Amino acid sequence: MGFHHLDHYAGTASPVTRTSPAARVVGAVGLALCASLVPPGAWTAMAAILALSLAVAVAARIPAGVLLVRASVPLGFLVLASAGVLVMAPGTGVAGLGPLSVTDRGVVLFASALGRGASAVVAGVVLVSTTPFPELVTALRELRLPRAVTSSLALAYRFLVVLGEDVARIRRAAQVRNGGRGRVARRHLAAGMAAAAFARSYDRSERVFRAMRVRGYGDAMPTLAYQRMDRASALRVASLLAVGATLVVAARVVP
Amino acid sequence: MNPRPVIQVAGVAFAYPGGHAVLEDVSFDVGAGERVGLVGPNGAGKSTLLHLLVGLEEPSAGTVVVAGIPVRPGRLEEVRARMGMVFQDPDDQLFLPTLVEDVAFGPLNQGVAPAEARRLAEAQLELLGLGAMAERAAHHTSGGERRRAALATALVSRPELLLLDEPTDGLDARGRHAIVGILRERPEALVVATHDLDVVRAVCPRTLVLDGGKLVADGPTERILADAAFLARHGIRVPLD
Repeated sequence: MGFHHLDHYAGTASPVTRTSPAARVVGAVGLALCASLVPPGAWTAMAAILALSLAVAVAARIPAGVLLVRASVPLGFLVLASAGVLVMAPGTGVAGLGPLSVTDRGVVLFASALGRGASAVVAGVVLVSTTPFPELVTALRELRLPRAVTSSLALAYRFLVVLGEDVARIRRAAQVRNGGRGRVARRHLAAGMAAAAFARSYDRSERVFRAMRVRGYGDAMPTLAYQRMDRASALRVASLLAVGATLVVAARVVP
Repeated sequence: MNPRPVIQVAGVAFAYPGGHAVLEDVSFDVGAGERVGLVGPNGAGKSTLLHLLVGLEEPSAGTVVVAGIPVRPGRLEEVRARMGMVFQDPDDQLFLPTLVEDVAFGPLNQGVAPAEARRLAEAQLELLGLGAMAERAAHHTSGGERRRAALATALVSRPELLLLDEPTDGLDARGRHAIVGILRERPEALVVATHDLDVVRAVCPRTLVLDGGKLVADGPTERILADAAFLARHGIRVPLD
C-alpha cells in the first residue's frame, strides 16, 4: 500500500490530468450534484449524466475493469442503503418479498438512487484515480476548505498507509509460521493483527510525525508540482458542468 | 570550551512524566564543524539527548542552545532551520511518493519556491549518488540507498549541525563505507549517536560516552576507544581491530 495505490492514473497523460486538481474536484462534485438534482424517473437525463461521467473516465484512460472494481464497493453500499425504499415507498405492489411488498414507486426510487449514485461514484473514482492525495488536499485548500480539515485529511491518509504497511508486515510474519490456517485460526489471527497493528502504527506514526516536525512541518503539507487552477482547466470544467446543468434543467422542465 | 559552539548543553536533565530519569546533569559544547560520536549502551539516553537538541523533548532542568538560539517553544522553527536530523529508521523520514519530493519537503516547509526546492533536492540526491533514483519511491530502493536518501533530506537545507541516530544500523559493509565516506567529507558539525564504534573511530575525532543518563566521558575518540576496561564497565562493545 502506498501513495500510488489509488492514484494510479495520475501520471497518465490525458485531458483529465491536464486539468488542475482544484478544477477536477469542482468537476467531480458538480457532476455528483447534477446527478442528485435529476428528478426520480427521469431516465434519459440520468443516463446522459452517467454517460458524461463515463466519458470523463474514458478520457482519463481508466480501464473499464478498474473502474468497475473501484466503483463496486461504494455501489454495493448504495444498494444496501437504498434497498429499504423498495418496500417502504407507498404505491401499488408489483412483487412480493416474503411478508413485504415491493411497490412500483419503490422500484422507481430505488433505480433512481442507483442511477444518480452511479454517476457520483464514477466521478469520485475518476477524481481519486487521477489525483495524488497530497494534490487533492492542496486542491481542497485552494477551494478554501478550512486548513484544519485539510491537514487532518493529509495526516489521516499518511497514517492509513503506515497502518497498511504494518498489517502487511504482521501478516507476512504470521504466514511464514503457517498462521491463520482454518476459519477460526484466521479470525484469531485477524483480531491479533488488528491489535498489534494499532499499537505499532501508533508508535510509528509518532516517529514519522517527529521526523516531519524536525523538517519544519507546520500544519500544511507542501507539494512540489502543484498545478493551480488555470483558465483552460476552468473552461473545461465549466463546459462539462454546463452540459450537466442543462440536462438537469431539461429533466425538471420537460415532463 | 569551543571558540564558537554550535551546541551548548548545560546541566540538562530529562525525566518522563512517570518520574523515570533518562538524563541527569549533562553538559557539553560542540564547536562549528566538529564531529562528535555519542556512544553508550541501550537506554543510556542517546536518542533522548538528540531529541532535546532538536526540540522534540523539553529538558526538565538545564538549557540547550543551538547555533546561538535557545531550544524552547517559540524558537523551534529557527533552530530546526539551522539543523538536520537523520532518524534511526529511514522509513520514518521517507513518506512521500518519490525521493525527490521527500528531499524537497524541508525546503518547501521553509518557504522555498517549488521549482527551486526541486532543483535543490535533485542536486542533493545527485551529490549522494542517487540522481538516477530521484523519481523512485523509497520502498523501491535498497537499505543503503534509503539511508543516503534520508541523509539527503537533512543535508538539503544546508544545516550548520547534523544529528544522526544510528546512521549505519542494518547496513552491509558497502553501505557503511558509503555513509562513512559521506560523513567524513561534511563541513557541518556532526553528532553521531551509534553503537558502531568503528564508525565513531572513522568519522569522529571526539567522543561523548553516556551511561545511565550521565555523561561519563568526553574526550578524544582514540583515547576513549583504547580503554577496553572503561568501555566494558559501561556496557560498550570493544571495537574489532
